[in-house]
Amino acid sequence: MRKIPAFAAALLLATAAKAQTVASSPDAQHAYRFLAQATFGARPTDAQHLITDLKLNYTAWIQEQMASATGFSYQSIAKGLPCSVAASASLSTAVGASVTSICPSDVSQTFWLGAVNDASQLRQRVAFALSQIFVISVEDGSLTAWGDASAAYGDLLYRDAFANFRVLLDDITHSDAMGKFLSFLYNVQGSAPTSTSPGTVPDQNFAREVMQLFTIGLVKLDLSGEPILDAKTGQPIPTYSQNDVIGASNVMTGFGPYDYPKDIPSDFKYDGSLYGREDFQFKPTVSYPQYHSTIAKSFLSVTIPVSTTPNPDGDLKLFLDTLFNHQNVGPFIGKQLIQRLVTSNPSSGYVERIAAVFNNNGSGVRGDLGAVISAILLDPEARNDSSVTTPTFGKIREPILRMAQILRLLGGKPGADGTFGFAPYDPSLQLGQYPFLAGSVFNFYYPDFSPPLTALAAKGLVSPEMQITTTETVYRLDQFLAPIFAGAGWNVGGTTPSYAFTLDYGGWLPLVASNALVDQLNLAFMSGQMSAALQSDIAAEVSATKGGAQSQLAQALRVMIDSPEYIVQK
Amino acid sequence: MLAKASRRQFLRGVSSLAVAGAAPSLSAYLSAMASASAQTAGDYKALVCIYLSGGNDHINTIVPFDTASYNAYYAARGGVGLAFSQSQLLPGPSQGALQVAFNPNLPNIAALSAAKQATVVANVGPLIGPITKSQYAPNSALLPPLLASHIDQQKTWQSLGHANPQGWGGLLGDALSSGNGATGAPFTTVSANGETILFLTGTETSQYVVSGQGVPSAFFAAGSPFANALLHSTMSANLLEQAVGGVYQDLQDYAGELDKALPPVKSFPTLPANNGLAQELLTVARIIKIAPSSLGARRQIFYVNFGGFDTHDQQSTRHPPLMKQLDDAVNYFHQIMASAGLWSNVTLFTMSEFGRQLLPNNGGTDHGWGSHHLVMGGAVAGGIVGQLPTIGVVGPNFLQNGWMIPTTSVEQYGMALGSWMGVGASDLARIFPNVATYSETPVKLFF
Repeated sequence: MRKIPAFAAALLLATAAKAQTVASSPDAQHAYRFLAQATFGARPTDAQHLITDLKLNYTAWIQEQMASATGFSYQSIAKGLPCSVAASASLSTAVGASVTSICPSDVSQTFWLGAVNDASQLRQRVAFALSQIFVISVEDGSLTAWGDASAAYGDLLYRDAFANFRVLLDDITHSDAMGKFLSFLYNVQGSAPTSTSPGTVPDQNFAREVMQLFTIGLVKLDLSGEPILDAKTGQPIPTYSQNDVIGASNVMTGFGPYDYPKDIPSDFKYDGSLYGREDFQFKPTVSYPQYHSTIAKSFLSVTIPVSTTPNPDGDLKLFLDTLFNHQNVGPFIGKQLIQRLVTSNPSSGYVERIAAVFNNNGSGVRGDLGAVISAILLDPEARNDSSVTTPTFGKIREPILRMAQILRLLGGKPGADGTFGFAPYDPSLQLGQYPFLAGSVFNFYYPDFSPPLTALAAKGLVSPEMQITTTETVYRLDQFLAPIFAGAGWNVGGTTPSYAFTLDYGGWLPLVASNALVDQLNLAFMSGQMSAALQSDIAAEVSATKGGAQSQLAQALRVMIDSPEYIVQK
Repeated sequence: MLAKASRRQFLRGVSSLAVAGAAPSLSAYLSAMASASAQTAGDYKALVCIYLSGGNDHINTIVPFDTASYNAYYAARGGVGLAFSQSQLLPGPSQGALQVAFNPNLPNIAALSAAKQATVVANVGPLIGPITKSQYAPNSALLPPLLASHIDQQKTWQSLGHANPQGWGGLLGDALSSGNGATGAPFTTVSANGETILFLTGTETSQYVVSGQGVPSAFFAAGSPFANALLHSTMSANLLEQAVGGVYQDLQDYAGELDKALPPVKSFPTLPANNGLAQELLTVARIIKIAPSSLGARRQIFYVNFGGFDTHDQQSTRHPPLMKQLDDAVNYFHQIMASAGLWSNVTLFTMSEFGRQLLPNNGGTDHGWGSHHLVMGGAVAGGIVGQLPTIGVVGPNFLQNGWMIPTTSVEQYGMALGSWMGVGASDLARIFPNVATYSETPVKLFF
C-alpha cells in the first residue's frame, strides 16, 4: 500500500472536522470578506476564530498567520504522490541508486493540497499571487525533467511570501527551475567575431524578463504606479534599452546547478544525468567562473568594467541590488499584489500607500513583503464597507480561486491516490487554468488587460482575469462543475465510479429544506454580498429542481458559482 | 450602454486628420490597392491568422539558400549547431540572385509554395517609417516603442501601436460586418484560442470566442431564474460584474445559432496527434463550412494561436517539432478546405511578435525585430513578396546583434490582406493610416 505523506494524513484529519455554520451578522460578513481576500476560502472554523477569538482584529490574524508553521512542503508532499513515486522507482533502477524524481504534474497536485488544506492560508494565497508574477510554467516543456526543481520553486515562493523582496529576488535568481524556464542555467559568455564567424552572444532571456516582469517594468513609474511622462514628448520614459538587456545578459552567465562539475566537468550544457536528481535540483544554483563574461557590462546607469578575473557572484549581486533599489519596484510589484488579492483597479492613493510601505516598512527597511501584504489587506480601500458598492471595485475570482473555495467550503477530499486529480496535460479537464501552467512567463493574463466594448474599457479600467473569461471558458467551466456538484465529487471513472475528489455535503443538505441555504451560501461564498435578485433567482431554481435535496443543493451551487456577482470578489 | 456610434465617429475624425496630413501619393496608392481586388457580391472570404507566439526564428523557417546567403547563415549559426545543412533544406522561391529554402519539417508548405499557393513575405516588422542601419539607436523616436518585448510587440503587431485599444483584424471586421447580415455579423471575428484577443478587438464588432475543443452552448434556458442570475449583472452597478454578464449575454444571444449549425467533428479527417494548432484550425474549418449557408456570413476573420516559439535555449530540439506541427496543421486545414471547394476562399497568414537574432547564444536565439512570414491559400500569387535581406551583421539589413531591420511594415502586410477581403479604400486608409510613408508600391499578395 502506498504510504500517505505525514502532511497529507494530517489533512485528512483536518477535513474530518465537523461541519458547522456561522450565523450571518455584520461581524460575520466582515470576517468572510476579509478572509476572501486573504485565503482560498473561509471555513466556518476560520470565520469563527476571527470573529470570536480575535474579535475581528485583522492585524492579530495576519500576525498569527505569518507566524504559523505547518510543515507544508512541496518537496516532501510531491515525492509521495503516485506519478513521482513511479518515476523515482524507475529512475532509481536506471541509475542503480535511490534517487527521487518528482513529476511536474505532482507539483501542481501539491498546490491543490496546500491551497485546500494547509492552515497557513495567507502564506498559500500570497505564494499563489507571487507565482503569477514570478511565473514558471511547464507549458513549453522546458521543465518537463525538472519537477524536483519546480517543487523547490514552489517551496521558495511559500517560504519567501513574507520575506524581504531582495531575498525573494535572490532566491528566484538562484533557482534551477527559473534558471531552466528563463534559460540562464548554463548560460555562457559570448564569443567574439572571427574571420569565419560573426560570433555568439549570451542568452538574454532572464536578463530581459527579470527587469520587465519581476522588478521594474518597462516604463518609469511614480509612487502611485502611473507612468512618468517625458516633459518634452509627453511619452512614457523607458526604464531600460536593448543595451541594458545586453549588459545584464553578460551578468547572467556562468550559473549552473549545484555541484555540477563533479559529475560532468567537460561541457556546460543540460545533461540528462541531472534530471530527477533532487540532490542537484533542490539546491540553489552556483557560479562557474570559467563560463562568466569578463567584458564591460552596462545596465541601468551602472557599468562593470572589463575584468581579468571573472566575478559572477559579485556582478550578480550588483545587478540585483541595482534592480532592488530602483524606484519602480514598490509601485510595480505592489500594484500587482493588490490586483491579485483585492481589486483590479486600485486608486492611485492605494498604490502609493503600498509602495511607500515597500520603500520603508516604518523601521527603515526597504522591501519588507510581510509589511506590504499586511498593508494591502488592512488598507482602508480594502476594508471599508463603501468599497463593496463602489462600481469599479473588486477582482474576478479566476478559476483556480473558485475551485479552491469550492473544495475548502464543501469538504473536498482527495481521491484514493491522495490528489485532487488536477494533473495538467489532460485535455478533458475543463478548469482552463492550472497552477504553474501559464501559457508563458506572461502569466495567464496581462495586468493591463481591458475587456473590449465594456463600460470598464470605456473608463480606461482593467480586469486582467477577463482575458480568460469568455463565451468559451464560462461554458467549459460550467460543464466541468455541474456534474461535480450533482455527484458531490469529480467522478472520472465512467461506469464504475472513481473519484478524483469527493465533496461532503453533510452540513449543507439539512439547510436545503429551510430558507437557510441561500443565506449560508451568501455568507460563506459571497461574504453576504448577494443581491436580493440573485437570492430569489437561486431560491426559484431550488424550488424548480427535482430529484431531492442533493440535486437542489447542486443547482443552487451551480447558479451561484456561475453568477457574475459571485465571480467578482468585492 | 456605450455610445458606440459616437466612439466610432471620433475614431474616424482622428483618422481623417491623419489622412489629410499623409503624403500626396496616398490617393494613387489607394486606387492601386482598390483595383487590385474588387469585392464581388455573393462570395465568401475568410482570413485566418496563425499567431506564432513567442517570436518565431524566421531564419530557420525560411532559410537563406543561394550560396552567398547560405554561407553567411552557416557562418552565424553553424558553430552552435543551429544551421541546417544545405542538402536537408527544401528549395523554395527566388528573388533575383537570392533564393530561400524551407525548413526540412515544412514539406507540405514547401509543396504549397511550389504550387504558388504559399507566398513568402520577406522581412516584415513594425516600423514608424523606413529606417536605415545608421539611423538606429536604442529607444530612438524613429523606432516603434519597446522593441523586443514580447507583450509590447504582440500589441504592436496586432494593433499597429503598443497602446492602441483596437486591433486591425477588429477594425477590418467593423468595416465588413454589415455585409454579413444579422445572423452572420456576430461571427465576423472569431478567436479560436479560448481567449479575448487584441487583434480582433474592433470599435463595435465584438469577437466571438471558441476553442480547439469546439464552440460553446447556451447552457441555461432563456428566461429561467438561472438565466436571470447570469444576466441581471449586465445592469449591475459593478463594472466588472457587467463585463462578466456581457459574456453570458453573448452566449444567450448567439451560441445556439452557431452550435446547432456546426458539423460534427466525426465528419472531418482524423486530427494529427498532439497538435493544438490543428485542433483550433478544425474548429475554424467547421465554422467556415457552414458560415455562408447557415449564418449568412460573407467575410470572416479568425485567430488561432500556436505557442512555444521563444526558443532561447535547446532550439535544435524545440524548434523542429514546432515546424512539423505547423506544417501538419496547415496541411490538415488545406485538405479540408480543398475538399470543400473553399481553398481559394480562405487565406492563412502568420504573425509573430518578432523574428530572432541572427547571432545565436550557446543553444538558442534571442529576441529580434523583423521576420519572414507566410501567406497561404488558393488565392495567393506565390513566390516572394517584399525584399529578401543580405544575410550578415556587417551588411545593411541587420543590426550588429543580428536584428533584421524590417523593410516591409506590418501595416503594408495588413493592408494587402484587408484589400483582398474587399474592404474599401477609405476604410483601409483609416485602418492603416501610415502605409504610404513606407512605400508607394502596395504589397501584392494575390493575383
